[in-house]
Amino acid sequence: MILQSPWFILFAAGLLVVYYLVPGKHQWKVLLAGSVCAYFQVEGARVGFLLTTFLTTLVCGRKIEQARERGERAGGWLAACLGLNLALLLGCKGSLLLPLGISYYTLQALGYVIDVYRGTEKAEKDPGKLALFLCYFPQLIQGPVSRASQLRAPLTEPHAYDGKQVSFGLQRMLWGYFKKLVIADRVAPAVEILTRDQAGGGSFALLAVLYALRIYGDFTGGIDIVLGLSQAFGIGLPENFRQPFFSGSVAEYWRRWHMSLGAWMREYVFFPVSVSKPVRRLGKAARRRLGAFGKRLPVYIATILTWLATGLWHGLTLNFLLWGMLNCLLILIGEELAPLFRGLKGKRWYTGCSILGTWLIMDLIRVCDLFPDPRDYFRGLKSLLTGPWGQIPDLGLSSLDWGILALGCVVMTGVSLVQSRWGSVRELLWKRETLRFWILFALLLAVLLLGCYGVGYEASNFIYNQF
Amino acid sequence: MKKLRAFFCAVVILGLLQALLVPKYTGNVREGNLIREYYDNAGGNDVIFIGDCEVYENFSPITLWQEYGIPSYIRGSPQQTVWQSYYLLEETLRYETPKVVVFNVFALKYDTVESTGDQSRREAYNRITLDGMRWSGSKWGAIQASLTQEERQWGGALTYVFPILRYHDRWSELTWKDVRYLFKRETVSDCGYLMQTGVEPMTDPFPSPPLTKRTLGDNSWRYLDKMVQLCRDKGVQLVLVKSPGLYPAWWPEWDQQVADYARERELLYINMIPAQEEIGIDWSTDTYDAGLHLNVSGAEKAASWFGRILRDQCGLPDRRSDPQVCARWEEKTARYEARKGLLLEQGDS
Amino acid sequence: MMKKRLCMILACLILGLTACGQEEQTVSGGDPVFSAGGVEIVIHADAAPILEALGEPTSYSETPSCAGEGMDKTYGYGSFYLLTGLGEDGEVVSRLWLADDTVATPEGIRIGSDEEQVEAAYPDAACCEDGSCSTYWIDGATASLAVVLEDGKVTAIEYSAAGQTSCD
Repeated sequence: MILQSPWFILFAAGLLVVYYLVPGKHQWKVLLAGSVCAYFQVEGARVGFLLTTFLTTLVCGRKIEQARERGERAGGWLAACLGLNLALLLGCKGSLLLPLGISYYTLQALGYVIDVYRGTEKAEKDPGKLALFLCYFPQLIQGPVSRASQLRAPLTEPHAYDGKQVSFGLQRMLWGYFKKLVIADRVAPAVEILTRDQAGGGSFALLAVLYALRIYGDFTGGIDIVLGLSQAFGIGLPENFRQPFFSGSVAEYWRRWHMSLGAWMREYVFFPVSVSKPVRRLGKAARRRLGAFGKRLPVYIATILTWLATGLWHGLTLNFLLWGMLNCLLILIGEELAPLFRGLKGKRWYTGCSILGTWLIMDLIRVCDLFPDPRDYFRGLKSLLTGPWGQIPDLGLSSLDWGILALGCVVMTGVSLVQSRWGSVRELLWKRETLRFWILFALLLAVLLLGCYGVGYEASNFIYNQF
Repeated sequence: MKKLRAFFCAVVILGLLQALLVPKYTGNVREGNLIREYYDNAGGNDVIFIGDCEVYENFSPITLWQEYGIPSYIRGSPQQTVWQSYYLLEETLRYETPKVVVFNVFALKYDTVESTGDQSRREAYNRITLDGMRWSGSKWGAIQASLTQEERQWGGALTYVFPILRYHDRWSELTWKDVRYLFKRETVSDCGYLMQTGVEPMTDPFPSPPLTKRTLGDNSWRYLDKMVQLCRDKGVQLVLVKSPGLYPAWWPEWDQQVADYARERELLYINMIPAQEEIGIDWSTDTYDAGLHLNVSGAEKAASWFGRILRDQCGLPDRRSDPQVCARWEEKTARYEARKGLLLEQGDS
Repeated sequence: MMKKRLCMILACLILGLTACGQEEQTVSGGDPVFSAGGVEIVIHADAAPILEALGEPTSYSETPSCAGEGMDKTYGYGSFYLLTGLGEDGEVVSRLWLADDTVATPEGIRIGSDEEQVEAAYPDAACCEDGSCSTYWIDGATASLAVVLEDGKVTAIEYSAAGQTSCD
């Protein structure tokens, strides 16, 4: 069951009705039943993976807590749980046959166990509640990666029906479908063609821009659907994006794009590494020998390891490793150069240039995803300098398609601008009932008529299910 | 109240859009209207033909009336599969109880949805047959039995409930005909018969792929069993027929199996292929596509020959003495002759 | 207690990993290929480049499908026939059958080969008794190869889309 299938929408609608009909203390069971059904429907054959992660997390979480309470060491349990689940994740990533959601639920499971080990979370006594935390169906498919402290309580608490929240949730889903079906899926075939038939600088540049459009529509649209549906259930998931294409530096971009993954990596890779004994010792030694630069060495090491992990999380192939390292390199360079530009901060033209520059750089780095062999990627980069410029293969997009894409970009940019300046668009429209109704109806018509879905269109999955 | 009105407006707009976007089948694929045309003609038929293009292009009901006084209707649609035939029969028998149902056995060669060949074409045929049916349990059953893999993935039966989900992107192909036939389609058939007046003589025989599957499939037999049962329950005589044609091949192995099946169940099975000479089919004048299907002159010959069997072996009465039935059929005959005249004229010019 | 739990975890791990392994096997198994005129022909392939490589056919005929634009085209090349139909993205190969014993499948089977040769060439083929003959089905993911034997000798060889195949 994919997010854009009519069955998913019917399924979610049915679940929503049942959810608000049962007493509050049983609501989470409705979600659990729905999630399990959805998972079996999609991944029935490979449910063993999720089950393994669930059981190990359940057992290790409790064991660790018991050990802590008795004042014993629990590191063995933690290591066993981490090792096993990471092995499963990496093993599956290596075989390129990913069970649905494994990248996301594994991170959530590991985060939970580490939190229990640190004592910041209580171990879950109720297996059902832990299962729901791991397989909650809207977010299982493509995140966001929630922390136990963010998600456990909202998932299982009773939620009284709140018309505004439900309406907001559904509105957000509709907006997500617009981005996914009208924009992302319209560009998708063109991106594939450009990836397959590299025809020089012009086509590579176009690829970078179109891929940015595609992944933006696909990923933020998908997250809008997930967060919107959750909001309709009364569950607030952490935001995953904050107008990422308005970022002024690569580091800022990564604080505004796929925020939940960034937060997870910061919490469970970056901080532990930078405060770990060997790294601290190395830092001390480096400061004595190298001065100011040496002082930053622990941070650098942690950053590099974090990006290594982030790259590998996306895929066990060379291009993702390269992609991670490129991001890391640009962030570090940005940090080193930051003092030089301090004086320019706040100047309008400088802000504009840095946003545009960051966007272009990120477009170029992102394309790395598409070429399993990094040599193809470098060839493309080189062709940006050498050309040829005019050769662009037939992308199968009609002028009408280009018009729709252009209009879609204008609408998406407009909405982002309004959001960054005045906050939630839905909140702004809430009081103006008639206007809101017809705007939403127009949006529905746009999705219905202009969306690329149904028989005859290649079933195009959300990109981020693949991770 | 205001909210309700806005909501009502939105639903009406959506409904109109859907009506506008569904294909009207006015161009080359007039077949798309065959199934839906039945409902205006339901009732009073002694014979119902069920099957694929080999019924709706190879038998002329008007001839059956003119020569034998047998009122009949063809519930045919392109590449109609046996499971679709079954549900169409089930539906038809709710509208009327004919004396005889004639089923063309060619479709038995398709055992599963996948075995019908190219799946995107299969989907188009599904649409043509299923979208024309009125809503009933039979339509739902037919949809469930017919969906291709890709259709299932994309909402399946839901796209038949709301065809806009299937035709949402047809806005770029809309023509004035979509407005003109928004609510009422033009009638393309004569009692389910789709007239072809062209002539393209058969020249060389088509090279036929080898026979790789000698036994007709279990699923086909299962649905044929269900048709037999349905007719028994309603007291309707089921006649199996293999319509005349040179290609695609109707292998002797298959013919034998159907003949055995019919004998065991005491059904009448008529293979018209060996009788082609007796029927008087001349493959240089009676086909519009070089031997696959008959044109109107062939269809009239086939009906004329088959009518004698219906009269002599099934004992169907001559209704021409009933003035009411006569009046109705005279009207139909006039329309048929007018259409024939028009099409022949168009063909000549 | 600890040991029991550990065993459980290990069992789960093994379960998970074996599931991983099983999955890999089902993906392999490409569609059967026929090779002629320097091109490889598979069912569902784009017809244009194949027709170009094969050159002028010795016979050609068109058969309209039941309705619509779909026109089946049969190209004869003496020793084999190629049938194409209109797919979603234009003309695609939908069937291919051998007409005489001057050509063979890439695995060396031709009309007139005997059962032993067929079994040796296609050890994984499924054999169906079908009336008086037996048909060997070599199934790929989306296409199949059928080898029909009568009295122990191959009488027909056909490539077609999967689904028309497999034993009942």
